[in-house]
Amino acid sequence: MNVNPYLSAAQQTILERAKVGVAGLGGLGSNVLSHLMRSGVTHFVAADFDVVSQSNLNRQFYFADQIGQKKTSALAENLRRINPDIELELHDCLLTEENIPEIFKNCDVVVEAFDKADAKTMLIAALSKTNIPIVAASGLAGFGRSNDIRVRKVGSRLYLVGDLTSGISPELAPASPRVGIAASIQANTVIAILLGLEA
Amino acid sequence: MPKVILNGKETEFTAGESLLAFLQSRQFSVKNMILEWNGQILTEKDPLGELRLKDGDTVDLFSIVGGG
Repeated sequence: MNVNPYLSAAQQTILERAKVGVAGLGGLGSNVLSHLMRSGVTHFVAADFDVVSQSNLNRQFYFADQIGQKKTSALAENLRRINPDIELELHDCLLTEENIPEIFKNCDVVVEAFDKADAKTMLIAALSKTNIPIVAASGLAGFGRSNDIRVRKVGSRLYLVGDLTSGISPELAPASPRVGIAASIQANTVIAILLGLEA
Repeated sequence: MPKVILNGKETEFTAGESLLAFLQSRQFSVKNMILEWNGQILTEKDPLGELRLKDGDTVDLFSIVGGG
């Protein structure tokens, strides 16, 4: 099923042939996938080891009746309610420096969508020696300061989305609007990379 | 003194200084930092202590903070 009838035939072909990797299915990853599949991307590699918890519902694309379910299967269910025809290669595992290059090797772009700073840096390090473009996020906690969240191109293949300063802390929690802005910019950047548009 | 462009500002360094020594002497931690060195992406996992700065190099630092 084609859920985005507003693309040109050429754009539709490009997006249907693309494969996008998403590392982490939390506030960033679950929302990035929703945007990408609604935009017309149909092939994904998605990985997360976690289960849905109540504290995820403030920003992540899951439902109350999915608490306790694996994020991989819960998200597949939700995305297929929008488009039953998407192809998801799911990895219910902890991503490491060793398995990341193998899991995402056939992807045209990889989205870094982890929560912890160490994991974010690890993924960028693990893929920085490959030719795969990376769209990562840093700095999105709290409310307000919408315009501080932007995308920067670093080197030839890394795109960093966020304000680079607002890390999560006891005073600064991740919330739906700001995490959503970052996720939207990440998804928009992925589409721009795939279609050869300005990021 | 040779100079690098550090985060957009001309900054002097000691000839022969490594990228790591240069950053540490200016109180920059490389932990959870993405470095762009002449367009190349580096992290703390790269041998920053073995990379020698040259006059006119550009170095930009980007902080990776938690949240997602």
